[in-house]
Amino acid sequence: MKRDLEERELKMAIDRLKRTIWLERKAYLELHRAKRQQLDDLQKVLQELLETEAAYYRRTDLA
Amino acid sequence: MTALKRQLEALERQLENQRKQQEARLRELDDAIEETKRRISAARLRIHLLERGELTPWEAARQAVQRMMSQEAAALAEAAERAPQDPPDHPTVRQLPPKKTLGEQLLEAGLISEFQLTSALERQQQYGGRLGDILIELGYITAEKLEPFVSKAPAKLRLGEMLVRDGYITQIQLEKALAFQRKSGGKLGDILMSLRFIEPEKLYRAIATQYSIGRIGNYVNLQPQQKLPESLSRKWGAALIHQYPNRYLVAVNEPLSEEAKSELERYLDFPVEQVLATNEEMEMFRNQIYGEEMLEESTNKLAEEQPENSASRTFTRKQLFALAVIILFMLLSFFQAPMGTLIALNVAIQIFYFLMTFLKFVIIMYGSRTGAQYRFSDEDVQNLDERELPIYTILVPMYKESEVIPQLLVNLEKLDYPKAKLDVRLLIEEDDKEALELLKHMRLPSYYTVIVVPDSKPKTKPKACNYGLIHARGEYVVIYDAEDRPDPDQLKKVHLTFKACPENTVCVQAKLNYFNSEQNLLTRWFTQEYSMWFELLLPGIMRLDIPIPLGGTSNHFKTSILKELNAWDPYNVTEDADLGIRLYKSGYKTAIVDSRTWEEANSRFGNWIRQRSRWFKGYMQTWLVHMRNPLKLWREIGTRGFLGFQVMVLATPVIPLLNPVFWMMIFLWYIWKLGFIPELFPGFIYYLAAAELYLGNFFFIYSNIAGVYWVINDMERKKQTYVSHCLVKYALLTPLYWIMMSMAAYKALWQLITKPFYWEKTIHGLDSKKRVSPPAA
Repeated sequence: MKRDLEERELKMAIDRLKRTIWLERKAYLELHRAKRQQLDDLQKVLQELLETEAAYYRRTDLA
Repeated sequence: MTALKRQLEALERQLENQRKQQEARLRELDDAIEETKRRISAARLRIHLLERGELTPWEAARQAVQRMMSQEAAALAEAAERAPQDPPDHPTVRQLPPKKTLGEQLLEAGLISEFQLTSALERQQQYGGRLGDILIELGYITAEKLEPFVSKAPAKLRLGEMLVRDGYITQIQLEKALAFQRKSGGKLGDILMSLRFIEPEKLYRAIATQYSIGRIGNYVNLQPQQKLPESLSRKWGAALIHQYPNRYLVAVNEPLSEEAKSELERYLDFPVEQVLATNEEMEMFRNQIYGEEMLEESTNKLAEEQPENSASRTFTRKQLFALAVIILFMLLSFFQAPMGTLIALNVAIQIFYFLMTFLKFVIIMYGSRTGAQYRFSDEDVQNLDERELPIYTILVPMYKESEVIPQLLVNLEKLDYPKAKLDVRLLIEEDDKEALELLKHMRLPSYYTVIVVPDSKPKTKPKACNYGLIHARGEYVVIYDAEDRPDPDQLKKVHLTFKACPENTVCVQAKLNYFNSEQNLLTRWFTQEYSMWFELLLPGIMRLDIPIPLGGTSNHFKTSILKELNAWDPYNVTEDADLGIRLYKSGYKTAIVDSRTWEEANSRFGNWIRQRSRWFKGYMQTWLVHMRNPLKLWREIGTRGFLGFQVMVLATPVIPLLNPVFWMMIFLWYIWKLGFIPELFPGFIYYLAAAELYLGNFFFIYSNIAGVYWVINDMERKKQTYVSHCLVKYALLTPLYWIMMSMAAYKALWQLITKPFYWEKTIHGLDSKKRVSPPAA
């Protein structure tokens, strides 16, 4: 009886852990996607700024 | 059953590994985001400079590279020169391969588990402190077991040697920094940070190791109910940040001496553990813990300690009573004998006009003599031993001026002063989100501190300056506006002036002028007026030893005396002029130095009226404050000072108020030949008024021209052509400028009654994009 109870608790703990792993992974993927998106957006802004800067150089014949 | 347990353990390991991997990947992304943000802000700064067209990035880069090369060359030459003589002083230190951390060593030795290490590290991350102490406190290890792993550092290494040994800096960088130190003095750490050889966090970690204390944690959760009294925190330079069951955790910027530590422990009646925090971190803690006290001090200290000198009350009862009596008397007289009263009033006004004009003439004559301002040659500046230069605090109050921040940084970088001895404090109002956001993404050099001034009334520049002054580190302090371009050698010249002056000279005013004088008619008039004021009038005041109403920026103070006088009056909208009078009343002197700060002249009518009405209102406030007891003032500053005070502080707003009345009279006389007008000027008053009309106006226009010539001559002598002779002819149109001044004076009078403390914000950054750069010194 006691052994069954322990076994059941262990199984429940395993299930909880599996669920935690899955939930954390899901949260991580979402967070990663958001951060990746933020980085992509920032890189786009940076690219545009660098192009603007380069245009200034070309315009003023300084390049 | 066993299989289930094994599965559980495997899953736990999997979760732990997953967390580690995820954390590492997210950290990588965060770093990439931060780096991209930094590059964006750098690119924006470069584009901003390009758009303004005054400093191309090529020029900036060339200048920076040249400066760096010359500095490096000088430093290296000096280092090489000294190297053979000083080998034992700073032996070459070999860089060690990266050594294992304490945590790693203890893990390897099997003395602690990974879980124990993680939880100890979490705790360390939160508040800081030494890992070993935390492991002992959590009961994971005993002191005896830990001892062999903790380096005792029997011979305390010098900071530079330690930094090289641990790979934070290279030997060459150390040599360069030491060469700077030999030339300019200062602390090695500050020099390394100012040269950007090391990040503050790394430097402070190394200093903490050197002194066997911990570093502050990253996620300090302050408990405001536990704090040291503000005065004690200031005295010890410490902030109480956490209480453990067996000790207090105290953040310090510099390790406390044994004496100070035991004094602190006696006060707290509990052991103290120090954790080292950078300047910026300390500033943040002070703001969070003592924000309210600091705000109270910067707003109300003067009003509480010296209510007689505070403009928190515009009119006193006695003043209101005196005003009522005068008005009543005049009304009664007017009903009794209208013409006689008007004549008497006119006589008084004409005598006032005459006296003020004559005295101003005398002051300007004195101002034009040599020796009315302190002058230093380039050689004097070059021969200055930089090691004797003290720490200099630069306060830059700003409100909604984020567009001028990039230019401000460029201007401050041009200052010829050892950067490791600068304490630049950017004072940003709490609701100025744009500036705060911009500054957050700019990696400012280590000698900059961004101070967020809490949002409260009155929202004035002096309150922000008082707030920034509380923890100023400098022996001297100066205020610059965000758009100011001080001459690069100004700070050094001020130091030379303080050295040349008697001990009671506690303030040095640099001359202000405008870099956009040629922008439009308004900026030309403004430049003429400023040239007269700063080139002739203020030097004359200094020479005659009468109270100087200070200019809004570029006034340099001895910090300790400024604090003693309770600094600026937050309720006075020309706090600078008021402070000049208070300095004089306390027996201190102000000197004028021959160094200029180039500002942006107001180029738009509405903006100009706002600024000028604030100045006039402030002068009215200042006069009302110090004339609460005229006899006392007379006794305090003597007859000459008293007369000078009236010329500078009373006449400045009153004459523009009176002018329209007399212009109107001239107009009415010429158009309608109204008969009562000549009756107001009986006998000699007519000749006096005529002299004022012709000679007085000529004198005022002439003095403006003289001021401009003064600047042009000075610039030509220094082989610089910046202010043009073309400016002179516009002086003939100055009477139109006076009309604008009268409009501003009436607005000021109205505001003095309706909203005396309201700060009319002047918008900066309105100068045209293509303009001439200020001269290089």
